[in-house]
Amino acid sequence: MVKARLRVLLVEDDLDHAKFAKLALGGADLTQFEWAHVTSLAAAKECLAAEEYDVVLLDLGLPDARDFQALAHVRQQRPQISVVVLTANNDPASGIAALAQGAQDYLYKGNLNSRTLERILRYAVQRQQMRLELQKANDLLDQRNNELQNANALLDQKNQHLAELYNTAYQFVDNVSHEFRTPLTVIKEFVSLIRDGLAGQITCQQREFLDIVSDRTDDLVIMVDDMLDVSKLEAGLLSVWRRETTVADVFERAHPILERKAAIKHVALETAVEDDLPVVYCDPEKVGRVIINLMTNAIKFCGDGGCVKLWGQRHEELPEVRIGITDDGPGITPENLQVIFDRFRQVEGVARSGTKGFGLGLSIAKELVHLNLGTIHVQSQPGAGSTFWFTLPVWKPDELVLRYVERTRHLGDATAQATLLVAAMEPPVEPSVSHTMDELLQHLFHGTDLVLRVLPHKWVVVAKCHRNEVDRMLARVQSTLTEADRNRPGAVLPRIDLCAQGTWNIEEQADDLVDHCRVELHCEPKAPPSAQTGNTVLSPETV
Amino acid sequence: MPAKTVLIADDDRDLVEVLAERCRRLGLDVLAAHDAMTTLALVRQEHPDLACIDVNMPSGSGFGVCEMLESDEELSPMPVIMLTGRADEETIRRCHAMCVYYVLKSHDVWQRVEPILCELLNVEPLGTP
Repeated sequence: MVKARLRVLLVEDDLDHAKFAKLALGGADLTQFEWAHVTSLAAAKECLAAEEYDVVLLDLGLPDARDFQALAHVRQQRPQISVVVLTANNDPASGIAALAQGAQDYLYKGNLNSRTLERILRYAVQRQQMRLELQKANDLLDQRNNELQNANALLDQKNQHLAELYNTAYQFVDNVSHEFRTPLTVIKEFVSLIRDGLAGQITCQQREFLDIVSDRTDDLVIMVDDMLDVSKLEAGLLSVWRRETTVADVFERAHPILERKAAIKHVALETAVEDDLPVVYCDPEKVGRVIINLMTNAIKFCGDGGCVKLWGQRHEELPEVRIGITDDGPGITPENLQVIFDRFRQVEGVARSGTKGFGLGLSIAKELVHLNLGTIHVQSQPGAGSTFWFTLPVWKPDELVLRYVERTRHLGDATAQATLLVAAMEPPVEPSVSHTMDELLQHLFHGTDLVLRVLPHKWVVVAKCHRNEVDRMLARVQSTLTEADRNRPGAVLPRIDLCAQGTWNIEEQADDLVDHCRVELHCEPKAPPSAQTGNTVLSPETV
Repeated sequence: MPAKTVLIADDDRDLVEVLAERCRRLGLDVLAAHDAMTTLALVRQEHPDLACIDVNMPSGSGFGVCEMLESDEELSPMPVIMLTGRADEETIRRCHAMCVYYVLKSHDVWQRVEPILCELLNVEPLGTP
């Protein structure tokens, strides 16, 4: 885009220099240049106002302009024109300064010769053109940037609106569930008062009818619980209190409801739990809900005269217990089996096949089992009944860490990081204090974290927490512990020291994480634990 | 030995009535309150052996009542059962933090409350027929 013919305005009061400059171009092809020569800034201004020029060759020392005044004037009058300043031989500094003031190049007056001058003029014009193009591109970018910023602000606004809506919906579900619970409880408690004969003798038939009322109220309570769990699962707010538990304890929670349900539906209920099942690690409340959900389905599909068996078995090889529900109902077709735990597909399936009842229950059961570090399975043949079973991990801290890491990796967040924390109290610790602290810690962390009580006075916590958030998490935990103490003037909890041991990327450094956990699981807490950070040292007992 | 006294506080009068009936069957004396202020006043006046308190009540929350009780040396040893329809993390966390029993208004509330009552007050449970 270099113009062949350049229009040059020479502004130079020293006529000798001006002549010299013209002579310097003598060697060049003069047809390529169109010259005008003035000797003052005032004259230069007039020329620039009247004519178009490509380049101004400007002397810095004019009679009517000092230093960079002339340059500033030219720039102001013609921002697009390119300017080359002429400087005295002994003054390289002002040439460089002129560049900063908007000149495209500078030239020592004594250095003028045809080749340099021609080249410098052409370069100056080209450089100015490029600058202008860059300026244009920049302006365009600025404009686009502005547009993007506006769009972004709009998106932010919409996002905030959506978040508000979501929050409202969540609050609504939360409130509704809460509001439902009290009247449901009142109904249930009055029914059971009458049913238990505390308000006068009742007949067998009356008792049977009251059991139906009770059972259907249970259904409503289950629905409220399910609804609440779904909204909490989606918001990632479902908390669990995983702890050492027996399978019998889990079954006990579900049993009264199931017994009633089975009796009303005339379904035989069998329980077969292997003797000496190992202690499992789970939230018995949540697992009880899984059993209720699975059993409710089984009882419903068996129908009159059917039989449902609730069983518990130790796994032969793996450190887990299997809890299963086997029914002799109509079974499930292979197509339905594939989508049975999938919430949205199921809803479609319900409408088409009329398998009423495969609603939220199974997908929630799956989520609750996963939250307890287990897996859920189904086996069925049409006409031959169905078996649903799920696994619960045995209380073995090493294995639990592996399971936890596997599960977290399986959730597929490649950037997820886990922080290892050790919480320790001064031993000995009363069982009740240890229990209270366990409960408190379990609720301070989330379902996505793992809290293991390895000694009555020591906890190993693997928290799904980014390196940058560790301090904030520690502060949050500490402030809750302090608050807990303030509320307990009668029996202040003993001091507990919480210490972060390191953070690892779950995807890439899982082995490191597991190794460090293993060390912590098997060693006595160091005293004082807060003095130790980073690398851990094996205590003598474990070596 | 005089009968043990239980305070039941809930703004739902029907729920108070049905739980009171159950308690009386266990041979316990029952005080009823339907708001936070009455609850606090009754505890101070009557010194019940145990209180079963709802979280959401008029004129103050059950947690507020508990906090006031805990700061009172004479009243703080009284065991408290929080009976609530709220199952959110915050509610459960506060119950743990205050060392009170948390019972969710869910299936079989009495079946959950009765064992706690019987153990704390040392009374015989009434087997359901």
